Amino acid sequence: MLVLTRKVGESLIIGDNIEIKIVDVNSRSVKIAIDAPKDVHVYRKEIYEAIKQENIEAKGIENIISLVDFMKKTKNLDPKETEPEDKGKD
Amino acid sequence: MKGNAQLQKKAIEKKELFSLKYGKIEYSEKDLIYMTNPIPGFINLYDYIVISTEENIPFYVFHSTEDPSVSFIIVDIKLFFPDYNPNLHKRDLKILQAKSEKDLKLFGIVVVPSNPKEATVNLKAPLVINFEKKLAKQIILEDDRYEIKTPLFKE
Repeated sequence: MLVLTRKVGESLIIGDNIEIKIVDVNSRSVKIAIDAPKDVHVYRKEIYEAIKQENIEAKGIENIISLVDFMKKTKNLDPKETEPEDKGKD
Repeated sequence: MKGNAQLQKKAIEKKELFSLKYGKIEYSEKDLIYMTNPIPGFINLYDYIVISTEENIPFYVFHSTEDPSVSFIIVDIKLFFPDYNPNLHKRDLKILQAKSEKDLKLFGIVVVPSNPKEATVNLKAPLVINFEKKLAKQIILEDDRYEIKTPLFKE
């Protein structure tokens, strides 16, 4: 990994058309301005990773049949008509 | 003219996909939805189809045509969350070749655990589709009102 030192107000150019500028620095954080073409996406890494994990999970345990069955059951449950579960036991 | 006719023929030509979960699926070129940016986690996959069957309504399957093991359950978010109205970036409208948000449909990717009652839908990163242009993108919202794991069903 390339490590560079920059001062506030200084920039980096990545490739031909991505510019990363250091706007402000304090003891705990750095403010960065990014200028990039519209097809280049910039995300906070932890958010991107969380979305990625969620997608992998969605793909892995997807089960449309159980979901549709559950929906149907719930739809058929009209609160006014709901009978006690133990009805018919005695 | 001849080239055009060939193109049209190609567009309706039946293709087959052998899905690991859903078995044989027939589709044609005109059904393909192209990801302007691949779905995070599946960055090599660009072509998908939306599988809609009567018995699965209101859910759809968003299936890769390039990898038979990759499919997602999606749902029209507005059906479950009528107030869902995230601010989309103009840049994303351009990428999806939409004149306005009306050209776009927002789907949520659903995670179904073993107990379907606990199913969640990702409202933080909707799958946004422009059906007319056949383009899609999973847009990661800046909006903090929406959660990645939003319960689909109320308690």
